[in-house]
Amino acid sequence: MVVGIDDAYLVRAAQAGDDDAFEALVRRHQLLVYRVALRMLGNAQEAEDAAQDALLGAWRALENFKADSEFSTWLYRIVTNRCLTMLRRARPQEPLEDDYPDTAAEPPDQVEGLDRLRALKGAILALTPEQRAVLVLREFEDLSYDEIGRVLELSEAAVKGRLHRARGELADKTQSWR
Amino acid sequence: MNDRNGRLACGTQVGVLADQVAEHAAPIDPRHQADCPHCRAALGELEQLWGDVRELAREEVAIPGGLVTAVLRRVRREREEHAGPSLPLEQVVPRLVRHALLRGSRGHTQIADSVIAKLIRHTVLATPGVGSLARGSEGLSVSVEQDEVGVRIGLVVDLSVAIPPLVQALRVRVEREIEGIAGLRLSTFDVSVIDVSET
Repeated sequence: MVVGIDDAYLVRAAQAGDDDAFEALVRRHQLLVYRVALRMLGNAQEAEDAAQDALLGAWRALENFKADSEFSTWLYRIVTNRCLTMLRRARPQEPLEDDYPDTAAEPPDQVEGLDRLRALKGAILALTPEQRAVLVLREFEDLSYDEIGRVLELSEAAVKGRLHRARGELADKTQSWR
Repeated sequence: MNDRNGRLACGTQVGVLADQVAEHAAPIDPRHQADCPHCRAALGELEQLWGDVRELAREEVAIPGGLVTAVLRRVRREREEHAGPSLPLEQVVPRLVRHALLRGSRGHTQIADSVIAKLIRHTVLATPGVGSLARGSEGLSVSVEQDEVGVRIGLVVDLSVAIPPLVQALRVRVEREIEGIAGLRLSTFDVSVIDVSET
């Protein structure tokens, strides 16, 4: 990713009402927001809705953003919370659609690998939303325990504990198809 | 691999082994793991599982095309609702925003012209010897083409300043700002000194 003007500068401009600066922030961070939403929700349409809501939410809350934290950490928090809210909202447990990017027309010897990945996605989506959140932030977004703690407003020990349970659960859920 | 409590037959928690594999950490109980068949089998499976997790993490995710537009439309709508119907027209009708475009291997960055102009304005005004910029587009005009920026400035300089070194210093600073902070190239840099400030 090409590095541009630093976030802090754009945030100050956006806080002062500069919509172009806010647009620049959205363009810069939209992939992060959408990626988390897609991995949390597993469905492209819902992920796009969640990403829109999260970015609009960021605009609404912009004046509350404290310059002493990273803008990206703040966005992680907003989009993760948005997804958790969507997931906790009672909805019939339907089989989750697989809308991750598809790898089309793979050679036959890779089919087994693809089946495994597909099953893994299903197993991740079958974790509790709270467990999935720590797993996504750690394994997919590569955040440190400390950062995850700030995103989820948990202590580092709580992050480790939850991650530990999520990993154990994932191992448990994936063994049946092995 | 394990019973319902997440433990192997030898009593080891699968989650502990999963943490070890996921974090590339040293085993807590190396001596036990070295010759426990249950642990070794589980570790083998977990290595494969985490290989898959990492592969999944490497998958490219494509951003939906209309995401930015949709967000900005909602921002505008909300602002209009807040401000009521008596807004000046130019605030209601979205103006065309021009951008610099930086192409990267993992995504593109766009920087609005107005942002680049602000950066340059800030740099110029912070340079000793510069009094002010002329008003409006005569003071600063920025033209952006992909990743190249052309800059024209109209200056009011301090009375006693030597102009050629000042212009040289400005060029260096603006270039550094544009390249260092925004990742863009300075294509042209034209300066006209339109006045001196006597204060």
